[in-house]
Amino acid sequence: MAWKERFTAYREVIPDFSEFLDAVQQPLPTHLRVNRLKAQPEQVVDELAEEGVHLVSSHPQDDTLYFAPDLESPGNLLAYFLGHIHPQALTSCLAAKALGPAQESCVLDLCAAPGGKTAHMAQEMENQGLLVANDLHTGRHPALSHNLFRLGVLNTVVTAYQAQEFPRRERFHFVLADVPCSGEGRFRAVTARSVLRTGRNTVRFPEVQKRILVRGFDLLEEDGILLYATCTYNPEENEAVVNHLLDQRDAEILALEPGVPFMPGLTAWNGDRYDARLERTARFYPHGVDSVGFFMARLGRRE
Amino acid sequence: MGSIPWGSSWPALAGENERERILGYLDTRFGIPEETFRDSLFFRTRDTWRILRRSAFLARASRLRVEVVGLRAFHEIGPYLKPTTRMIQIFGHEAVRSRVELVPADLEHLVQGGEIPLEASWEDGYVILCLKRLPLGVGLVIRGQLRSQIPKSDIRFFLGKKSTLL
Repeated sequence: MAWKERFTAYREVIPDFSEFLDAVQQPLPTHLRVNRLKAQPEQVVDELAEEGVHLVSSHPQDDTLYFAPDLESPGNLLAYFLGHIHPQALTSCLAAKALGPAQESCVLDLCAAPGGKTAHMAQEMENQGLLVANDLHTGRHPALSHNLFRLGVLNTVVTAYQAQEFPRRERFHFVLADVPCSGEGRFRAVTARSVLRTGRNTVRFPEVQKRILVRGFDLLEEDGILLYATCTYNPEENEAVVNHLLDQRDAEILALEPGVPFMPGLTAWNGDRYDARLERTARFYPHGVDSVGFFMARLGRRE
Repeated sequence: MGSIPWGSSWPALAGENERERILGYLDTRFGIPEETFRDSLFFRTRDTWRILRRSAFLARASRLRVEVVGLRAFHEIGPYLKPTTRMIQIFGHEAVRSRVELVPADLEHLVQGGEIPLEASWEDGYVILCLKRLPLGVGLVIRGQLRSQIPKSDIRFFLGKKSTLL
């Protein structure tokens, strides 16, 4: 499908739509997360500066997040080999921060591969507690393990359950449901051949996402917190999925303070009305923060 | 941790003797104190040892069917323990022995498959390769010759082009 045709469907819900279209036609900037498990930010900034790599802070309240404007291949850096840095979109980095797993806690990442967010959570936990990194697709486990090993993660076990069927007998203090999605937010129309992929599976995503979210919620401890995240603009994969949880369970949407520009979630789409609480979810657009388009909802049990 | 009923998918938790062997090797060879691993558990697979942080919540995970436990720490090579690159990168900074400080030209020579002669006083065995005092991974000394043991797949960026990274 032509990308403009697809995105035009969002004309009424994405503010400053022409700016959004302009932003989507710019290349995605290289963004790095300094891995505090193996290095300190100031040390990495200095080391990379010596190699001619200039870093620009990307988050006012986090000294581990940087744009690297002139860097094309971060995987070719010694700092990458040493696990001092991880190439990760800024919005992707917000997920672990928003979930905020405590050090000595029990955490589940339902759809973990390739492991960037898992490793970020391990960093937030200072390699303490227990982190279960689940991904159904064992073919993705080598990449997951490679990233966890390279980044020095020591508190993690990897499982391969279907996320929506993860065994109910265990409970977790924090659950990340970074679900499979259509990935629209990753799209940038930088060449004439850039194609927005909308495969046959796309129509099935909302159903799977709803099942994963409900199971993730059921796996929470009484005072647990779940973060639902996608990298798509599609309300049927975002607000509609969270709305389904609110219908099915006694869930509450918790406040988000991501520290970068975002828009509130939608309460209506294509003639459907959603729970007014959906406004507490967050939408990230490339003309607000130059990164992957993203959606997040922070959820807990209703008191 | 010995009382946890580990599920059948879990590798075997190191017994007291095995743990002493691992910690004794790290202390004797590299001078990494046993205390460093007070909060770590070791699990044995067929030919590797894994390291996992001790946690009060491990009993919950013990009932899960696991694919991977912790980080690969050592390979068993015959009667020898060979530390992995990542194990050395994490804990190598605690080492006070068997560290070889390299200059960039030496490192490039090693990763191309070359050898570097060392002084005769070096004992055979694994050593920690360092650059600018940062532990990179493992080298092997045999009869005074040093070779890199860092997997080429991990350092492919050094190979086939002049590195500007050093």
